[in-house]
Amino acid sequence: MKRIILFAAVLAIVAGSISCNNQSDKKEQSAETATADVNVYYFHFTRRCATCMAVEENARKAIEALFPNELNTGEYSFTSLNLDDAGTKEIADRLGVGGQSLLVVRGEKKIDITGSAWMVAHDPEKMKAEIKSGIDKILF
Amino acid sequence: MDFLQGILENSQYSVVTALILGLMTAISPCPLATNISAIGFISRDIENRKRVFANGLIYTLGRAISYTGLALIIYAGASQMNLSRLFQGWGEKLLAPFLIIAGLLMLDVIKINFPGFTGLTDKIADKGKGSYWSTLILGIVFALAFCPYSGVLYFAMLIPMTVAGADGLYLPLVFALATGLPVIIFAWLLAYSVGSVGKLYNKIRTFELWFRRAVAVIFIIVGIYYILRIYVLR
Repeated sequence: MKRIILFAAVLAIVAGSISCNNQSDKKEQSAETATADVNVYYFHFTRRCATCMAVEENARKAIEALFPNELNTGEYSFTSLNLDDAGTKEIADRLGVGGQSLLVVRGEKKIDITGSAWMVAHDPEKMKAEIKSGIDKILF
Repeated sequence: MDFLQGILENSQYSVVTALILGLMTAISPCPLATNISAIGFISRDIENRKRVFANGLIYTLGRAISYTGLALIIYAGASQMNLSRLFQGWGEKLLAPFLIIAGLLMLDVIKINFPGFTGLTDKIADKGKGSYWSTLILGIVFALAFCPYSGVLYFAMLIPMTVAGADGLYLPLVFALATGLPVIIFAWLLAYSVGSVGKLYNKIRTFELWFRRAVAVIFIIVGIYYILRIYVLR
């Protein structure tokens, strides 16, 4: 029982010390709320894993390859947002984002393709299929 | 990893999916580091084989408590968004100082002397009858330290399956078992393979003090590794 108290004390100390000095360099970047018809959002924290980076890169490439015209006309958009930035909070709250996510959004409709995109993170072709299927679902 | 993903894509059963997600979590670099620390921690009691194996199971039970507890809280109606943000945003950041402080406590570099709790620090690495508690807490804390990758596997994949209905609430247990599997296997090997080699066993007893110090150093090194990952190498 004493050990529990000790561990709890250690945790409390750690939590206290961290919350005091974790004002890491927040790049103030206001979350641009895209005005396009179909928006693909990738949300992440400052700390990311290799797979997380691959998800962003391949998702972006997939949209660029699949819908170059729609991107040019501003009909579709791809936006990557850091949840550690204060400016991201508003849109993250609105879309109900709690962590790393890949979302296809159209108006009030939202499709979460995080899980499936994570599984194909390193495969550009499969990522294209996931993005396409997400966009198809939200259009119809 | 590709092999596991292949199974995952073709899986029709949520129990298999939960198992695979757990295995993928267990072998991804960041939770692997906590599992290595855990293996070190539970093998401190190397002279008592049964205790080593039991500790492996208890560590996994600790993980199960965290994963299931979180799932139950979300199922009960807590905001998944807020919980996910809290743990994915903070879990890993809190882990590094926790590991370093735990390591320093084990080395007796720092001592916490509360009135009435003198001598506590000597017992944290003690093999006394209460040491199952520290293993359990280790499992609970390590499971809550979500890394960017494991956070997605848990919050974006396992949780939706789990909270879809009451019959999915056992899935975090399966997930936890899989994430603790490397530790259970190592504990079993340590307990029943290493321990059975008689001469080595006696030598280990002799070096036990040094072994425990090595474990403490592992904690500190893994803690520094996390600090580098989070604050320097990003």
